[in-house]
Amino acid sequence: MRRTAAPRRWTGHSALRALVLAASALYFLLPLMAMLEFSTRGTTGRSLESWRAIGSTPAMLAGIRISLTQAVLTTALVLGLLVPTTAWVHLRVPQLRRAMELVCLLPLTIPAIVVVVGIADLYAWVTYLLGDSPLTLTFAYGVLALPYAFRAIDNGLSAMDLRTLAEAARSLGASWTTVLLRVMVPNLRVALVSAASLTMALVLGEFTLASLLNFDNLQVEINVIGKRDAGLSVAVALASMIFAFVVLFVLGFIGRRLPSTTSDDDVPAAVREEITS
Amino acid sequence: MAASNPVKGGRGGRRDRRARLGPAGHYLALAPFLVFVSVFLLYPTVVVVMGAFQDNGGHPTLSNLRAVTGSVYADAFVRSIELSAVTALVGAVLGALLSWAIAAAKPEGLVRRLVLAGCGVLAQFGGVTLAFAFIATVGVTGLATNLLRELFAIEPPRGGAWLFDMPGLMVVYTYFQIPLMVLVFLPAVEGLRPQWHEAVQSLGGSTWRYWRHVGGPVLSPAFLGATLLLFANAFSAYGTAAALVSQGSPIVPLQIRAFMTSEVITGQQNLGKALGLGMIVVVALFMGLYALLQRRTARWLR
Amino acid sequence: MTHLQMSGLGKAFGGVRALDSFDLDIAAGEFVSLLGPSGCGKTTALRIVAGFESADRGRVVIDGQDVTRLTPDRRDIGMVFQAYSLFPNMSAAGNVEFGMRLRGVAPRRRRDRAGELLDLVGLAAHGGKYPHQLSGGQQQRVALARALAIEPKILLLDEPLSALDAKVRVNLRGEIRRIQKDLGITTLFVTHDQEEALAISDRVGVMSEGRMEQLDVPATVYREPATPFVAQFVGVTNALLGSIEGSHVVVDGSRVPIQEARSYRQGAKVRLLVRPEEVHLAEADGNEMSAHSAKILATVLTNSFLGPVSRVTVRLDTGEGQLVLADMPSPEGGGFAPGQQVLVELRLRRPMLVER
Repeated sequence: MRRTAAPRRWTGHSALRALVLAASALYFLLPLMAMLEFSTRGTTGRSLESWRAIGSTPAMLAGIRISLTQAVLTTALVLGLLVPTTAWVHLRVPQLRRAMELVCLLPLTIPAIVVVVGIADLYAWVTYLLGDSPLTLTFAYGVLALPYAFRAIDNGLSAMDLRTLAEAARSLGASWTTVLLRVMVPNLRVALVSAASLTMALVLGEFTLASLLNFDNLQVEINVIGKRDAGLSVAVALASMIFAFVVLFVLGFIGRRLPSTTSDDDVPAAVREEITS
Repeated sequence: MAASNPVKGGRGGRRDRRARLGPAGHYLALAPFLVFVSVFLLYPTVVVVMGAFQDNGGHPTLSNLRAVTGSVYADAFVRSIELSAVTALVGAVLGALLSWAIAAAKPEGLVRRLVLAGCGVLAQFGGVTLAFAFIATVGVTGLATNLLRELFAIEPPRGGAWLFDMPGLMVVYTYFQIPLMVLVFLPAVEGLRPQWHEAVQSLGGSTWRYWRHVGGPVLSPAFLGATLLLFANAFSAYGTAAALVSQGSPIVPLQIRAFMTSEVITGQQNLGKALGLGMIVVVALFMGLYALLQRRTARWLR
Repeated sequence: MTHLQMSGLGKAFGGVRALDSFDLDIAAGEFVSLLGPSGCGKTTALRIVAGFESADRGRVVIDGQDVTRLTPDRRDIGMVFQAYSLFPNMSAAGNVEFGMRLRGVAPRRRRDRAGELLDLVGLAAHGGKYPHQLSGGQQQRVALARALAIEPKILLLDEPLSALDAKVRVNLRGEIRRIQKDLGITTLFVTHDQEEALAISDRVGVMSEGRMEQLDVPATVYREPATPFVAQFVGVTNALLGSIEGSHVVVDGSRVPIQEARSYRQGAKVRLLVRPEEVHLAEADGNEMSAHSAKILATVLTNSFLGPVSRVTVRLDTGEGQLVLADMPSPEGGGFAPGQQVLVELRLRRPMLVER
């Protein structure tokens, strides 16, 4: 530990490191700079016309609204399904853990473009039953988000001694719902935030299913409008990337607290906290 | 019994009932999840797999697969694999280099957080937005194109149209492969313990010897695994290509788009499913190998 | 004969002084421990000997050769790290062979020698296993064998036991000492565990804030601490609050005669450092009390049986009610029950005072 306190000397290695970092920064920032430049072009000199056009383009605003709603709904669906089910499997039917993992990770091996092929007929039924709303994509997006959300939640559950926690709470007379909501969810906070952020980022960036099942959302609108007004699409694309960056950057602070909750010593403390609160 | 000790009796009763429900009760709690997964994941998968082996009348046939492994579709597979392999290799090498550079930064520091959040956006958010980023950069009137033209009088190849074909896909795919490599490979680089380097030194070895005998071998399964993941990632990608390429369908995902959007070839709707099955097979192969290598690295770097 | 010599070593990390004109001579075949709290500079000293840190000032001489400017790979040292230092991609035998491989030793000879060394550390049957298949204690044994395989001039041990379970720790430290004696290898051992240092060393150096507080054989360090820091860091020590009155220290109204008190100014506030075994308890019968007695009336709080002794915690009845630990030999020590009134007598062997 004292080891890391040693200041790094300016050796050949660190010079090379700095060079790699600088070159990478240039490479990755160039397209973003270009987007800023491109979206502020006017007939003469700089202009914010493209950015202002966002507000006066109903289709784009609708796309943004739809994508945000889809993100929230998908997150709710995925967490609502996965948290109780994964917890139940961990506690009561651990022999099914491998099987559940296999099912949840299956979408990783099925490209979204292939999901479209298989799900197209199904969506004829979905729109017949639930109406022709882009929000019905929530179900398909739930499938796409499954692997990422499952990994986060499964890791979170494995990190705490769920059985002891649940037994401690049950021995104090807590019901199953109480165990789930007051003991597990608070201890899963980091995992839930991580699962939610991955799901939201995935939905906000989703294009494949929406475009091929003929629903409108943010990415579809960016693509369609881009054909006639590239400046507007570039502006929205840049804005959505900055939005995603800010979300991930902020979540990085919450996610970093994870290691402290994985230590065995903390489990009794967690139990104590729950019992006394 | 319940009268003599109501609380205890009540609880005991509840436990008894659950015991009577037995395993069946345990599985019942999984029902919502199972229904969702069956309808929206397993059923579509089965549709694709079965459809690939059926003709339009639903009779079993191998003609779809035969069609997919020949002619124009085989070419699309070859191009998809080329695109994925090249961008995976370039992305893996450059991403590994970047991971090495970042690993020295303080784990809780600002530099690390900024880079990781940036990588998350570029690797996972990609698709259509990245296509427009490159249109703004190296498109016909992009920033870099304009600068090259004005400063050095360099005209882009094919009047800037190169971006909307295979060369363009290579460039944009590489751009999102590098950050994905950083996300996947950085934990392995961080797993290298300073003691290993110091132990090699105390035993009389140089830094080169350390990388040759310890650092390199320890990282190689993780590197190989990450490269396979990058391959699968590029192979499944659709958004970027869909936004950039409007002439023809050089790669498999775009071939599938053609089946989905055109009314002309409805007579062969199951060909699309055969293409899908082909993609699943390729991706599953690479993801499986990735998982295998990942497990091995995790054991070493625990 | 001096085998390892550190003279005038100084090292600062960004303004924080880790080592300050540090000297240490170790004779050939000697086992010396550096003991101290974290941040006292002991690890820095060891890492300067190994060459992983460069000293701002001073010299390191090994076997007559000035190695101050040599890189670690040219110093001929064997080093055992805290934990997890085995190469995960090599078997136990592969790890032990590695140093010989770098030196171009023939494969056949390498294998034989690795076998001998694994046998020496009691792991003859585990040569084919990989680090992740070995327990923490086994890993550290392999690390020791690996360090010894290159027949280094000096063995450096950087808290090699700190990550292990208590039982394994005691076991392994005994074996390290046995092997060190068998091979007669000059060894520098760094630890924050005083029991460990006292148990296996020829000499123990107690460090604080980058300086050597005391360097002596274990018994002397324990019984005759040279400085108040050593007295408080090594062993269990009561630090009784008192004030100077002539040749006495007044602790909670009781006068303890101490010659050293004369060298302090009248009325100075001090701490009197007393080992638990220097505290004697007797049953109070109610009338031997007088204000000038060196005995202090107290009440027993707890009594824990530690085997050869019982450790009794008492609270002084007068003054601020300070707590005092007393070690009483077992048969009679067991007789003190909580709540009982006792007389505390300080039978000081080597009184030590610290001004507060």
